[in-house]
Amino acid sequence: MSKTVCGIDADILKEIGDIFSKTNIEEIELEEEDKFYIKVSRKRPDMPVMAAAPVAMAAPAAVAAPAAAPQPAPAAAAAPAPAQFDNPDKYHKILSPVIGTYYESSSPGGNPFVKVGDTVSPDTSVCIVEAMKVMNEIKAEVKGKIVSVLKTTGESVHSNEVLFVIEKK
Amino acid sequence: MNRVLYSLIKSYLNDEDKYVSGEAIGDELSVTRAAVWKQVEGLKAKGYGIDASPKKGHRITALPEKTIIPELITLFMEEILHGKSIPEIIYREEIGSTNTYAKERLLRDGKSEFIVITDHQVKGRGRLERVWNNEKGEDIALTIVSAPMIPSAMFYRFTMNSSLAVYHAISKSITGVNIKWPNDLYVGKRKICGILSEMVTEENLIRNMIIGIGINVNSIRDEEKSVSMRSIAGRKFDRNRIAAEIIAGYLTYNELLKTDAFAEIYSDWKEHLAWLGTEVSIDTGNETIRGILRDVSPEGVVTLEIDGAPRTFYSGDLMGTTSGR
Repeated sequence: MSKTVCGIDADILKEIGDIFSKTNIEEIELEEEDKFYIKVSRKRPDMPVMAAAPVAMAAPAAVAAPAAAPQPAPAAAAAPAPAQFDNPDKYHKILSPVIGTYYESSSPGGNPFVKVGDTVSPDTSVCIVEAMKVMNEIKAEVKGKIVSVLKTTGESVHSNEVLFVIEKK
Repeated sequence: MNRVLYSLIKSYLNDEDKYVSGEAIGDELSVTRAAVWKQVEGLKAKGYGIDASPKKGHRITALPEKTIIPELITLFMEEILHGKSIPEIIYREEIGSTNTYAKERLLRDGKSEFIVITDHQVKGRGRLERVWNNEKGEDIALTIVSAPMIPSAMFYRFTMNSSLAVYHAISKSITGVNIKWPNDLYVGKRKICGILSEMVTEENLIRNMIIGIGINVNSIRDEEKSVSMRSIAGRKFDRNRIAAEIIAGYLTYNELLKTDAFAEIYSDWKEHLAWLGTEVSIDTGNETIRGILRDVSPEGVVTLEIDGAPRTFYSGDLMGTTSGR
């Protein structure tokens, strides 16, 4: 039997390491039924390297109590989508589909999904609107650049209220 | 899904004493008898009691108690749903959070309708990332993913459907269960089941509905704010059966979602709503207000009567104010 590191075959780990060092690949995922699963990622610093079964993981420490993180309000935040964005050929406005509470990140105090200047694709998640304990993840729907963020975490939003403006590409 | 196990359990449910020959299973699944034998040996190692007779074949004698058996859940669901198609059940011994795992699967596979279930959810989470604990091999942690493509304004119907499905599944075994707005299940003032719903919308349509359900089943839990089915009933329950009834119930209600029959689901749901007509408090994050719980609309909006005047709420933590638990 080959050498293992943390329950994972050392040869596999070496192979993965080689792929990362020789390519620009950001994430590798291997799976074999329910016997083996590994995901190695270098996408974001907060994305943990994780190894699921057969490696038993210790129960995690309690997650920090939800606390409202101080939100530096972007300059455009207070104003409704200004008239300069009223050009549907150039700009796309993301509307809230429901009445609810706006969250800029997937967990309290986490990194925002997007900020002004970010490039997005139709599938990029931009925020969460919570209504009656249903977390509604909202997608950009178009390709482009975020030019305006209109809400901050914890704010109430109405149905069809503008949340973001995207400059289409 | 293990097809050999599925065939063996199917025979076991029909007639516990009946043997199935390796040849018959092999023919059905287009594999050799040797391949079947190998599978059976693997199952024995996992704790399945399987009696093998050279002449008669194989027969299940005991199913492991501390593991979820997706083949058994599928068979129970087939029995309840009478031949309707059953979504794939993805089982893992251990998962961080079934909702997070389901969302990852949505991104990487093309599939958009499936179930995720685990014996050990180690990073269970609720609203605002609150921790949800499950005991390994004793409780239920599952996520149901669907792709309904209906107007997002109807999202609350899925909340009603899931909480009502859980209500009926566990009320067969214990009494005193009520639905706490918007969707958790309580016995008195103690939580027995938590539900976290997430959805992905696209141009005002619900592209995916992700319902995460955690139930205290066979863990011993008799605390001020939480309780388990076992601690109430004084016995253990088959988690596979409960999971199958919840999933089947939810899928059945979803089929009625766009029809007039939804009015019946709504009135059934409201009948089991906790504290209707009595004093409650609601914590909106900004303030805590007391009032009489007068109504929850089909859209999920709460009406409290405060000093004789109605006031509506879209979110918050709602709790009865009577003393005791």
